Amino acid sequence: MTSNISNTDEPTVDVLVIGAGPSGAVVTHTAAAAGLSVICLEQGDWVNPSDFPANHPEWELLIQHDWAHDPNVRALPSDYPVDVTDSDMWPVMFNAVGGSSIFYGAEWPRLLPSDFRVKTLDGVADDWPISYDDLKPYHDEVDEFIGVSGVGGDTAYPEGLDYPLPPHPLGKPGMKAAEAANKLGWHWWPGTNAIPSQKYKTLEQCGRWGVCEWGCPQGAKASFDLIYMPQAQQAGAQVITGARVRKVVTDDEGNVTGAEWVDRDGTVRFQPARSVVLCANGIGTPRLLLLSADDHHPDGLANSSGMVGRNLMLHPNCTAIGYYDENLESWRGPAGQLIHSMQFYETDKSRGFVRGAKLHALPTPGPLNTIEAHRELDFDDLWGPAIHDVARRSSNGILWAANSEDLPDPDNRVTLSPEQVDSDGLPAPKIHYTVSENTRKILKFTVERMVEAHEAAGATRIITQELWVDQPGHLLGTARMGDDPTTSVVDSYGKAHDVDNLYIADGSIFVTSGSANPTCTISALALRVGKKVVENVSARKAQS
Amino acid sequence: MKAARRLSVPVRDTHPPREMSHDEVATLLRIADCLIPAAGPNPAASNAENYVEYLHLALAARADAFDAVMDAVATLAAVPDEELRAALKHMWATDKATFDPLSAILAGAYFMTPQVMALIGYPGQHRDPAGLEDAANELETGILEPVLERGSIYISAAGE
Repeated sequence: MTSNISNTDEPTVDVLVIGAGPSGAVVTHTAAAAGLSVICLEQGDWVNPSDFPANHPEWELLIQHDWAHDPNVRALPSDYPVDVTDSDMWPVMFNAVGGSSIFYGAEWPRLLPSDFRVKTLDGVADDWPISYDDLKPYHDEVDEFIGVSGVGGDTAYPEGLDYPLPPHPLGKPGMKAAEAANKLGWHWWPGTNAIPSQKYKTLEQCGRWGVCEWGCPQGAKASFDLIYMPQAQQAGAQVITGARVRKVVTDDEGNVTGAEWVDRDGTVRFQPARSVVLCANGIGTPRLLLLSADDHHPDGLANSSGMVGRNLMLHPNCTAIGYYDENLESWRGPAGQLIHSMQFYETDKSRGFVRGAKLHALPTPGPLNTIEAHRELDFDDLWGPAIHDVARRSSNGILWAANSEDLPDPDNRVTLSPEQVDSDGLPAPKIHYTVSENTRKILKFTVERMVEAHEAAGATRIITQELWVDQPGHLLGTARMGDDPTTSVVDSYGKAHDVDNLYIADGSIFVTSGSANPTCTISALALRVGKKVVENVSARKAQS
Repeated sequence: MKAARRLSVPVRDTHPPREMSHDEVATLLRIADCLIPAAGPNPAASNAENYVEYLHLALAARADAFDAVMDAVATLAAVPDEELRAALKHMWATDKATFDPLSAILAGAYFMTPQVMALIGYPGQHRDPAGLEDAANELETGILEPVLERGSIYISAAGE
């Protein structure tokens, strides 16, 4: 790779967005729709619904390697290695237009009011500089744009929560899980999903393929390559794929002037911009800020607080799969959450830990996946005549899964790997992450509750996993927002405290993780950041 | 001709990385039958209709494990039938890195065959959109009533 910049005369754009995942797509659209010139740089490329593994009979084998969630396993040309040699967990992501929404389940819960006030309520971590009400109008706007399906009036939330599309059916697994929750006196609610129950704009109606987390073959999930980014392009935004950004560049006055990126021929290019918005996820964004260190910013860009890369939160997941005697047709989607429960979301100090978990019930599609779930059985209980009965159970399953709230810890962090580099020779991100004692208590407690739910529903076999080491796709907290520049990287509008025209709009800016699936909140925050970018860039242009 | 490699999409191959010999296929089928024997209405792996065709597809889908699988085949080729199960159990206990993909490929191929899918009642992943009234009909059963009766459960925080 040459270090010389090949192009020096590109026109300056108003807004340069780095990363084309959910936050990048929202910011790109917001700026373009406001009439600003926008380029979005994405190291991956476009993926078509017809590309996804579930289009093929061997899909359950394809998701084990070629389409694995873990980029270190998948190792596509768009992927960069993630150094997990000092981490309890292996963060996952997808690098393409649409980002990790290509592979997400599109579960779409908002954070709860308490999530913004954890310090005040529980005496731990920090409060956010914004509240539930501050974010609500942005949530409502995003939900309306993408067509969220659900039932209004969820009793786990303040009044005023509704969705533009009717819910999906619970199906047999959802009804059974809900009956058990009723028996136990739990809160539950029909699953809220960013999966349209009816055709909506550029999204198809959900076909209930059941494979949401391995790419929707129907194009019926709010994957942000299919919604927001197409509208951004219609509004005039340009998406450049195969563009791996290696450095955000600043001038002598400390303002961002653009970004250097490497094309797929190895040529380094420079894109000048009046403002830069980082949307590269909670791993990629701190990596890029650290890669952008120079004489003026020896510890990395926007890092006078020392908080860049720190407070990584991963929402450790746990599961309990229950198998039942009756056929629940558990190959049918969406998956997507059939129901969710916030019964154990809030702090109850009698449990011996603070905060909690969000639970959700899903189907269990695929006989080979079911066999894989039984791998811990003794050899003779799986391999041999027993395998036929195990495979039949795939239609009879309910997956209860949970995100645990992951409190911020400065020692859980992203740095630059001293050993691993990507295909362009750039240092890989290195993950330093230890599952906390509080989180381990949440996981243990939550698994016990999910087992109770299966027992109440009459499961005849229950398989638990207290920690999914290779599933954390919720990458949060590594460039936290706050009012105090000494303890945070950006303000509540995502603007870097240290750099006037640099913004961050992805999961990096979370202060605490909550335990709600975060893309819903990431998207609302990105809309809020995007509108502020438009306001600030427009004002500067008017002045000049 | 191989398709050009895309940045974010893996190439889908439908053939294993190389042709297998007759003996290699025969050994794979012996292993498959040991792990997936006939039981009741269920055929042994090698007797499932078109199993070898799907085995090729499975090996292609896990091309990353092909060399390890072929090494296992070479190791197990000389093991007599009556000792094969014990040898596989030993591999399961001591060499997970080989046993897991080997067994996944053999089982994956079996459960891809239309005959076996029909036998176990698995229709495969497919488009099956919901009926217009399905969700409403479920909620009309009153299943959500207990939750509504308990009312709001959220914890208030200053300035929601």
